[in-house]
Amino acid sequence: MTSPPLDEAIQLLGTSRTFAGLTREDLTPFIQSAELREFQPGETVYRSQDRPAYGLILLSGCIEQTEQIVPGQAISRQTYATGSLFSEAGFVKAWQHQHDCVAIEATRALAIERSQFFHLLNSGNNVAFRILEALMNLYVRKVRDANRDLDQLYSQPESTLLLLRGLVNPGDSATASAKEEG
Amino acid sequence: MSREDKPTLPKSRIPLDNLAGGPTLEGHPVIGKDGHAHNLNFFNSISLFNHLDAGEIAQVLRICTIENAAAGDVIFTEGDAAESLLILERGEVVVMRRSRDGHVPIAHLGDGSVVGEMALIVGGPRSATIKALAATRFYRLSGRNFDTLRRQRSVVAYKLLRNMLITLGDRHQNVVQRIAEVFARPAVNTEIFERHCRELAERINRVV
Repeated sequence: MTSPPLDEAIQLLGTSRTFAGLTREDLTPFIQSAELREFQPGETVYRSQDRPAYGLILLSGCIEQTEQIVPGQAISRQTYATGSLFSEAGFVKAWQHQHDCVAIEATRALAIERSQFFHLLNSGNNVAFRILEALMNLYVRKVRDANRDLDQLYSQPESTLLLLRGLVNPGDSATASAKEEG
Repeated sequence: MSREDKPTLPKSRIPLDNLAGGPTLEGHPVIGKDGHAHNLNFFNSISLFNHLDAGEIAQVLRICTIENAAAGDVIFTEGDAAESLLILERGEVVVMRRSRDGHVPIAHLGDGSVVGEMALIVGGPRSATIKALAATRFYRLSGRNFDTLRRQRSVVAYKLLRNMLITLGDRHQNVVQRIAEVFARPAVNTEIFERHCRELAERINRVV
């Protein structure tokens, strides 16, 4: 287990929106409860379908998450800045990841195990509370986005049918697309 | 005033002094000053109240109102400003969404169901209409009252948030799984969606 550099971590987290305004007294017990994880450029942080045991907070570097909820539709790519939460399910419950996550440059992150996170919440730690609030907003958005995707599948059955036909017979799909474009 | 706050449904604030006692009360109906019995086993069976002790449940109930709806009453309408969470104590409601076929029922909810977690956190418009199918009694926790708990960094607030987060995460996994299932068996679902498209075309032709 590698301990994160306390002063540097306090300074870096203080610049992020999620943790803005928190004091050294708030941040110190939180950072001391975390492990430092380091990833090389190109290294996989986690894969879709993995079940995380810990949540991560980006300290430095850059990661990219990619996902494609509906086959044949655009792949969503997001990169994250210092202080961002990722592997966020790991803070609360071992929900499967929906993304692949790769470090795109040398990256360092704080890893907090779920039990440790709840312990911090129980002790009234303000950092943990901020994370909980941020996760609520994140999951509200995730549920709304997923509901919208599901609604679209059934409210636009002709589009769904094209996607399904494309999966059954990729050649037909390419022909259909070419015809539509033509 | 939003439609959901129309004074059509009788409200009463519940003093719950008797509930502050602690775990010895669990499993027993507790009578508030309004004469309404609150069974702690009922609240313990609701995931929203996981890990809350009797005193903490009482703290939540103190900031709730209790309301009644008769069969046929619309409790809130899709598109209304969402500003409260409801806990159904008893009765039955139907959840409906607008679609091109009118209001389509998407779920039936009964005793112990919780509606509107997202509203409590971010507000915004209601995503569905809720209508009582039978005499229904429910608790309403307003966003304003919940925000007061949150600002106080109350343990109760974080426990509720954590439980709501677990519910939301489970719901997200469920919806993502349903989307994945559509594409997991493309040959079977191609036939289903072909039929769906044909039915839709026939309906449109009838209207035209």
